[in-house]
Amino acid sequence: MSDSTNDIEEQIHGLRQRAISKQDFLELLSLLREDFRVNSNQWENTTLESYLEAMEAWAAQMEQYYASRGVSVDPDRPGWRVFVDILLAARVYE
Amino acid sequence: MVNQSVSNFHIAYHHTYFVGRDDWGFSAWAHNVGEGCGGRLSAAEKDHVRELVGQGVPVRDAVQQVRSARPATPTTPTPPADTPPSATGDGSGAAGVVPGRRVFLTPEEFANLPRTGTIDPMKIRFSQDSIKGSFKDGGNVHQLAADLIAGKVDPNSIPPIRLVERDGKIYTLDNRRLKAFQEAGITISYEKLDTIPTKELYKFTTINEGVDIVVRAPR
Repeated sequence: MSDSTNDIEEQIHGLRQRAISKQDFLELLSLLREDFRVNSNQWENTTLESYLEAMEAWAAQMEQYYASRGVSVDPDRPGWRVFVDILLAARVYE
Repeated sequence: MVNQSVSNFHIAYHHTYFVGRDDWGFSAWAHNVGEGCGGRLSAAEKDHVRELVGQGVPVRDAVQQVRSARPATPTTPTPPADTPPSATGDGSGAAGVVPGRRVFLTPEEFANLPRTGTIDPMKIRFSQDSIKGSFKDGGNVHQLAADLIAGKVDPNSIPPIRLVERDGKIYTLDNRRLKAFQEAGITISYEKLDTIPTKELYKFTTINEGVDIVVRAPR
């Protein structure tokens, strides 16, 4: 894994750990764009169609993900963190 | 000893089929056994598949046709809540599958595995609840299984699946490949990971402890 890959991944991970604000979300989108530009070979879903399909599939089961991590979320009142998670999950979701 | 009713049933199109959860108090497991147990076709069955393919029958359909000619021996419902699979079903076993009980890799067995090697795919859990039916390169999961069975794809040409331990259970991060090899009943190459990459934690959406996985239909 290259330094740029690690660097972007660390920034994404750090951002994910913070309390997510709108500004954090915008920063995440910027990081994701950069990650896709330099690391698209690491993405599972590299077309808009497959990325959206993965977002749909993951969002449908996201409560299970949060439960497995001991986190409680209200799917009817999602915050920025949930949107961040949906975008990040769709990178790798098969 | 618990006395309980036993029902025979057939599940079409699946070599193995599982339904149930610990909190339901029951589960059922069906697995075709016999000469071709594990999904492997006998030499005669492979000849039959080739013959059907030569007649224009798609490989997957040919394999299913040959398999359907086998006697299916469904298994019994597993014992109820006093012996949930997660509590007692993770012992070792050379066959990989025993009647009525899936045998998954234990943490101890996982720790003793070489870093890379091959393993019975039925011993590994899925991390995701569902998978897309196609691979990143466009290949189809079911077609890969059929091609593996028919000998059209070399199992060694498929990248190893990554195995990880989480909460005392052994999962893969490469669910589609595991699904294809489970369907084919062919030993799969693996690579052990010491830790789960952070970004791959999103894959843990299974609702049945990784026993089975849904292949999402294209829309």
